[in-house]
Amino acid sequence: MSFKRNILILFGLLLVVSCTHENVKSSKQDIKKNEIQYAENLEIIHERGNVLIHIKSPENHQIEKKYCIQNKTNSIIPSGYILLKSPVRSIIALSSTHIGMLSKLKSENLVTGISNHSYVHNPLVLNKYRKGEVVEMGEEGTIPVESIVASKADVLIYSGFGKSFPHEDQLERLGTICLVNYDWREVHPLGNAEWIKLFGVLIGKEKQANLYFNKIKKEYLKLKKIASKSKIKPTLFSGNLVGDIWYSPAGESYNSILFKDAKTDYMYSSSKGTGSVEHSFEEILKDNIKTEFWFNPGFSSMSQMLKAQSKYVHFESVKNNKVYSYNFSGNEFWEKSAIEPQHVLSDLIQILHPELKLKNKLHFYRKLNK
Amino acid sequence: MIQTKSKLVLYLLLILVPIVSVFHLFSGEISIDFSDFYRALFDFDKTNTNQIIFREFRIPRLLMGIIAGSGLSIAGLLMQTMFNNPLAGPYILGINSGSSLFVAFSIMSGIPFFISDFGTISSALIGAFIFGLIILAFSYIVKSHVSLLLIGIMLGSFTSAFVSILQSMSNPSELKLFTMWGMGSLQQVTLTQIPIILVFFILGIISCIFVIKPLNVLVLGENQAMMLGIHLKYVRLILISITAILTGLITAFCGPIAFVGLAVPNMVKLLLKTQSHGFLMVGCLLVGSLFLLVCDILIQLLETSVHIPINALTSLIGAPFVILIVLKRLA
Amino acid sequence: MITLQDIEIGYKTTLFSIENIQLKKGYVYALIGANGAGKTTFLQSLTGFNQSIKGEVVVSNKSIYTFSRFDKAKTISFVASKFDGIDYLKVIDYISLGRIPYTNALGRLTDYDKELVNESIRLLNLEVLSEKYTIEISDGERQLVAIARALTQQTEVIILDEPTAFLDYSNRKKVMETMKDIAIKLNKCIIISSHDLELCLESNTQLLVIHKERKAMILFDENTLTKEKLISIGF
Repeated sequence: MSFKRNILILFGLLLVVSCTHENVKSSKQDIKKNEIQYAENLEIIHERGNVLIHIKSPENHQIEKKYCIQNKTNSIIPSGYILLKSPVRSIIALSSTHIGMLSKLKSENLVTGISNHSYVHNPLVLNKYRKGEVVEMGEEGTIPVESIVASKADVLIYSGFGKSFPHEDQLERLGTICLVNYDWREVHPLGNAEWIKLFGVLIGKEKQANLYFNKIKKEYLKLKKIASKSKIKPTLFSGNLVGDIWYSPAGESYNSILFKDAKTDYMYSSSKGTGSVEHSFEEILKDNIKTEFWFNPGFSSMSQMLKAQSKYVHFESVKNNKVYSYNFSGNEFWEKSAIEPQHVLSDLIQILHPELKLKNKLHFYRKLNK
Repeated sequence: MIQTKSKLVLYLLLILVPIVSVFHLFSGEISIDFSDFYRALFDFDKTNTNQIIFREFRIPRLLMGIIAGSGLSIAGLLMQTMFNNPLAGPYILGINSGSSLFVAFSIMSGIPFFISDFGTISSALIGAFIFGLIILAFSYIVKSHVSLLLIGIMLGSFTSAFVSILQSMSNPSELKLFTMWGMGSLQQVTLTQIPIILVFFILGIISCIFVIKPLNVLVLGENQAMMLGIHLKYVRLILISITAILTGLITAFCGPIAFVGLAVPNMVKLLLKTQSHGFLMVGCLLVGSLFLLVCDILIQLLETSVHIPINALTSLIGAPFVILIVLKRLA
Repeated sequence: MITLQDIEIGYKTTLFSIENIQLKKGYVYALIGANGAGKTTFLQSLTGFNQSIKGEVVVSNKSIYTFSRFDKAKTISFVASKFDGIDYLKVIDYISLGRIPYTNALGRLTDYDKELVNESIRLLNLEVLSEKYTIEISDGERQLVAIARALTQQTEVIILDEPTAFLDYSNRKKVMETMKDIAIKLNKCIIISSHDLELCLESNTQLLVIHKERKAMILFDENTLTKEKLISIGF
């Protein structure tokens, strides 16, 4: 009799413990909301056996598209979500930043389609292209639907412009999901890099993605702190002429934030907007003729630059040869800079604050050749 | 040959040009005062920003405005009389298409030979030169000017198609560069380039003196002109050559500038009420310069609110005017 | 003045031939023939802008093809059948263009040139019109203005291609009378192509008829043809 009662009590305890455990687990899951810290256009939420991905419009930060990855085969997919089967095994990556992020997760071999091989830096992808294992699709507006269908890719990732990808619904029915990506519209450098978490979730390497992001975040913030301790604030300007208009990064833009974090005095840092500000050449000259540094002139050689526009010679930064560009390694820069913002920041600080004696190697930026 | 009233108009225009020029020099967002102006010309201080702006930006812009405005207007006059058509302009023979095509190649083709060393200016000049030769060759073979007109238009269509293909293959930044070139600009030219531009411009203008007489007769039509002793083929060659040089030169340094060559000769005929080409040419020089300078001043004034490319403004003002001409002709 | 001997007129094939016709100064010759008979081709050959298939047009003992451009313009002038007027071109300026073969490289008019222009205006009673724009005047007036321009060109030969086609009756008569006047007074050789048979017969001009059957051009003196005979030959 007491034995039976003991068993019952034990059984009851076990039940209570397991229920509590269940509750604890589910409440933990309930609390685990959006794990994105810096990116403003992305939300990743783990929920009842699903991973929910929310892509937000950069214009108003409202959710534009919703995707769902099933972690358990019988989990319910909420309405309004497009199902993404995970792990994704073949990807058409239309932007080089996507390739950069996949390569950090050592998964660039999953790329089966690209936009244009002449913009690709990654040697693995290029090699596969030459062997015919990666297909060139063309510029976004002009990709033939049949090419996409024939590639049988699980996912096509494209840079969003506010409208859906052409033939999106058709492609979804035929097995290729079009995944919109707004990493390029992120304003904060870490926010841009954080989109690697999306790739992590897609290909089943979430842990690696989080590890990587935390590592670069730490490094970035460390560099920022070092720079903030400097006693000087060098002056710089950025951009170049297109036709009659000079485009410079606006005060709230990606580059402007980098300049701020590198502790510099950038003339248009208080202007509004996340894109560019426009000025006439006369204004730029008047504002920046004595500015110490010039970044991103759009050329990699001084002589070519002056041949294209001889009036640049009046800038002090040109006379003193303090012009820096990433244009030597254009493709590499576009592929890697989004996912290595700490290296971009390091370059800037290295160049702008020689007094800090950082002695890091320059990853992307170099002084212009003669 | 010309009414006294019209002569007075010419004198008035002559006085207006320097006045508007001075306005032009001083318009712009950076305010420059007279002492900067004086020193920039006679006592240049290389470290003074205002003086640099004046010499390197304002003066070339003014001179290019005068050269482009008058050059295109004169070329337009030549073409209008040669084709007996008030809607003809300097681009009617498709010489401009040559510049456009080669610039498109240099910006968008991705062929290393064309990029870097070639530059936009050289490409435009080479394009104009080659197409100029093609048109000259045709004008030698072809009998009537209508046929020549058709050939010019077809050349234009052909190059447009080619340019479209190049555009569809190019990336956004190349596309933007080419589009900006197509909008025209008086600001790309530098002070060091001005002398050589002036040399060819003056050559072109002086050559016009020798075509005044044939032009006066061409007004009667090709057949009548022949009956009066004009050597048509020879005159055609000279007219096309002058037009090609002026148009090619201006397009190379400014990009294509619309409507000036079409609207101004008609304005001048309306103002001076004569077909005497000596006076019409002087009129075109003056009105052409004024028209383009005024457009550029407007651009400067509006710069803070909106940047209007020069092509847009000349078209905005020129197009209604051309409609007026057409309506007047129908009446 | 103009000798037409052993000539075949045509473009690619011979339309008609001329055995021996002399056109003299002081006379008006009316060129008559059916449509397509070769009137226009003949006029083009006369002006030297079209090669005759055989033989040469001889003017003042020289082949027309040996004339320089300006010499040709000083010898032969041409009046088209219609002049629509030209924008912004005044009558007096238009008439002055007749002096082009004589002026210098810049086209400057000497006092002599200006006097000739005035004379032509006076001869045709166009004083009232001289400061008007060619666009503003009537068709008939424009035709006379065109003739005045040809006169100013001071050529020995004046060719008119259907000058009365677009004019009303009184203007037509006026033009023919004026041409006869000019031919005699100024000793010119005038050739007028026309479809107006009655007018030509009435005006007593010489008749150059393209014989339809014989495919030959025949010169008939004034008063030797009746209208019926003329029609039977040419049409």
